[in-house]
Amino acid sequence: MSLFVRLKAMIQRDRLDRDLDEELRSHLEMRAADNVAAGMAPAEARYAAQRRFGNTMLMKEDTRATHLIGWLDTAARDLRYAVRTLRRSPSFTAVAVLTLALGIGATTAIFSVLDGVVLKPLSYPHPEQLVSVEVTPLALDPSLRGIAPEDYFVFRDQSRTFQDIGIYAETDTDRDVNVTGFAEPERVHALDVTHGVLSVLGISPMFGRIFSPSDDSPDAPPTAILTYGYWQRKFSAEPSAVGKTIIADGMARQIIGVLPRNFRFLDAQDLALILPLQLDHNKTYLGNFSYFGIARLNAGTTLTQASADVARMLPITLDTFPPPPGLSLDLLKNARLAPYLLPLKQDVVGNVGLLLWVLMGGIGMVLLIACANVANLLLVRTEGRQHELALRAALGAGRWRIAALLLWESAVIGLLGSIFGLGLAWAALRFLVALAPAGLPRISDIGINLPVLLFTLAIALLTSLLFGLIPVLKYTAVRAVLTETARTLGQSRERHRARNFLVTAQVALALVLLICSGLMIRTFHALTQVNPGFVRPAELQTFRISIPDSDVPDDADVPRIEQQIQDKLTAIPGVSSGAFSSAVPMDGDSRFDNVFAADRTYAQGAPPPLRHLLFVSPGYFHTLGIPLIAGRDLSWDDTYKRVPVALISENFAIEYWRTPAEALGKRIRINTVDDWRQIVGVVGDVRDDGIHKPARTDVYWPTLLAKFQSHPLRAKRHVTFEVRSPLAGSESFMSQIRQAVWSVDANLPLASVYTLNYFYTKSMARASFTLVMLGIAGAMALLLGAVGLYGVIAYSVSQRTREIGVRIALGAQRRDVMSLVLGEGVSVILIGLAIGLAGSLALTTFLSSLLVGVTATDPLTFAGVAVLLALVALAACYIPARRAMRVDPVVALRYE
Amino acid sequence: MAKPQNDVLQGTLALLVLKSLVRGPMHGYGITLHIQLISKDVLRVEEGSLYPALHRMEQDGWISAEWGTTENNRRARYYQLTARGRKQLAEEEKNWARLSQAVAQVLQFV
Repeated sequence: MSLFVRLKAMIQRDRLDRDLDEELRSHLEMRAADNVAAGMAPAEARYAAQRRFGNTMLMKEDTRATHLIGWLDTAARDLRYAVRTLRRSPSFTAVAVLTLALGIGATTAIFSVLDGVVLKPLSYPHPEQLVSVEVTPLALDPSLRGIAPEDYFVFRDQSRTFQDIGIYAETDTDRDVNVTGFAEPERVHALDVTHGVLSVLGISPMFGRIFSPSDDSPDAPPTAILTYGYWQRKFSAEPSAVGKTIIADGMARQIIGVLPRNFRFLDAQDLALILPLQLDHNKTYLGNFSYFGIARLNAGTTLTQASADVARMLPITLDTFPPPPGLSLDLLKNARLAPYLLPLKQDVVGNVGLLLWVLMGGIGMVLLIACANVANLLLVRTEGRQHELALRAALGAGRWRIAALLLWESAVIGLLGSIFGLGLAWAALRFLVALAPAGLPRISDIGINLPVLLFTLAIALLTSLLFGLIPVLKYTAVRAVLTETARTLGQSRERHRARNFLVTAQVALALVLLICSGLMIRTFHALTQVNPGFVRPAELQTFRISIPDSDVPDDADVPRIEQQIQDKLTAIPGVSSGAFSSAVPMDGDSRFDNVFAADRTYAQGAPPPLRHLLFVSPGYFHTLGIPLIAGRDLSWDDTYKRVPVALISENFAIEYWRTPAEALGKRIRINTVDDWRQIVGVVGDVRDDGIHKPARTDVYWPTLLAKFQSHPLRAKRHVTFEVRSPLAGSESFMSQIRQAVWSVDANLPLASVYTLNYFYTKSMARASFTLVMLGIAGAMALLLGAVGLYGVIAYSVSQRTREIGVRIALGAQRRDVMSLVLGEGVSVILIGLAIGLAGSLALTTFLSSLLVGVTATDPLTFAGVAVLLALVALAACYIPARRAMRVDPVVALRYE
Repeated sequence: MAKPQNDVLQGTLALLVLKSLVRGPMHGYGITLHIQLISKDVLRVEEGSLYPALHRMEQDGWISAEWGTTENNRRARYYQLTARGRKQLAEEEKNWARLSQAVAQVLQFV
């Protein structure tokens, strides 16, 4: 409130009060004068007038309440009074505010994550029209999705539901490009897009232009668009960057535009370059599903309509484009391609929403427990103030006035708690974001913003009302009587009921939370027991390099460079072995294809199952610690002489040939124009998809292949090196590695430098994040619940000191007193546990998709946690019970 | 607190005040006297609720108030009907007539 408004309000209020006083006085004087005229003595007349009028204070207050300013004034006075009362009992206030701040802070923190990740719409214009457009081979593996160039061409030209559609290449490490021409070679993230992608998202450039259809044509001059961050870093934010040339993977490209600062492509991190995806309509073969699509729907079109539209167009693609050499059209037809469209936000957020809702529910319970604690404190406090409240009532304060007074106190506690809670939330968020599983989508959208502040305010008001109403309902319903003496003879059960109810609820809620965290602990334990297929991942240093066509034009020469690097790496002191491969386990870079076996017959057009493909150097299995179960490893001879050989995983061998040994000598290939390749070895299964998912069946090929996937000769140019050394992960070791690589080719930047342990822990990140968060919630619940229980029992003991004293004086054994007090606690605990167990049975089903190796109703967890909670709760009761046992009857009786 | 039997009926206070003011501006005490006099002591306005009611009606714009002096040279706050107040009065009178007629009909029914 500004000074002026306050002054005005003060003047208005004073005038109102003066007017009221004068009006009242003239009324009373006139009545008194009439009374005198009727023959009363002056003093008696004044008294009679006053009596006839009744309670002037009440009337003034009622009148004031009819004016807004009067109402505000009353509220302000109540507020001041509430603050004063609270200041007079600082320890009560501190405990209540702190308890609430914990609850509100935790709730706000989780809500801001939920809001940023799940609730907030994507920051593009009309985000509700945006969808991801992909296709899934229902008959092969419905978990695979992608979109092929032929789909793009047909959907773009023939769709009835899309405003526009664009496709882009995967944003993983494979799309990194080497940028040269600056002082040091650099590997940066690039994104290949058709011209529709940026315009579908509604992006306009800060400088220059975005791609047009002509940039997409295969013979167009190469172009590039810079992101804001890269433009700042490499071009010192010079607008003249537009028109300059940048060399990416050895190709000179003209910079045509710079994107605005707030540009984000879905969830891609650190994008530097956007490059045109130049697809050639005339050279397109069916079935290259390695792209992703996004489209903007016509206004008012539903996802179902769009899916139906795509389903209509899919057969058209099969008729329009030829199948790749060696694959029959029937094969593609039998894969049963189906539309896979999702709202774009859902595509970005994925299934993390469930996890966040679970956490939100858990933290909400902590908040409820905190509220119950504060309500209990308030109950006790209000009970101590019965005398004051009775006095107020006797002086004419209505029930509403007393209720308002109590509620103002709760509101002040609630608001203070929220302010501190916001501070806590701010601190907790930094912790949360640092802890969040790598790949938690939209992490940059998380923050304390307006919706979060509104949420906190709403929570504050709601909670204040929640815990404030309980004492109000209890103590204003029955009009307290002034005559009640301060003597406290034994307490009736009635007076205890509200508090016992609250504590029972706390025990139940705490049990639910603790069982959830117990299940997560068991899950985490189960995950660490799973054999990933490789050994000691912390010792394995990995990094990616990419050998561009411009440096080594002939594919046949690529493995020689790679072998030279591998040799240099293994020569580093302390390195036990080294290798390279197209990907490392769990790095999320997985390739699949149909694999035929020579001794199997496949029905005409029926596709064989998809296998996970990996291209590896000799020594790969040894380096990672993947056991060789039968046969032999690859040799450099296999690679250079292009010997048609392969290795497979044990589970594949067992699936087709019963034993690993039987699989040796069998022949496999990808399609009918490829050469058959002989299986020379069988190795252990690897959980490539993450520790929580079963191992896929793998096929390992050499990195240089003739007549493979319809290509005459192809080498793997994007490879990950793996080096085993106890020094892995240290910066000094990495600099040795860089020297080794650059001694072979000084133009090769190193990218994605991680130990294998990084990918391994990342695959457990979601479980560990959930574990930590639920663990924190569970610990808070346990602590608050124990404090609440302790408080109630301790208070009850202090109120019953006299009664206990009398009992002891009359000969009660101390043990009896102890069991009397403990008994009260035990019944609360038992009822709470029973309710909590029932609640857990109902609620843990929401967790089941996050659990591994343990069921949602695991009896061991349920029983163990219940016993743990019972013990903590008993301890909380034991302390006051012991105090009760030691009550000195003489002292107790003197209390009164 | 037990209330006197002849207290003004809940909800009719506004009607009685508005009607009293038809004759011209009046102060609060005058209104109580007027109602008591006209109703031959049957109706008695409780003063504790009169003033809040007057102020509420003033906030609602049915009546306006200004300070004046009585015939005995005392300062008093005079209340006066506004146009909106007259409309409100007509409305309340109609309601009251309907209500009392209905009550009468019920009472006459044997």
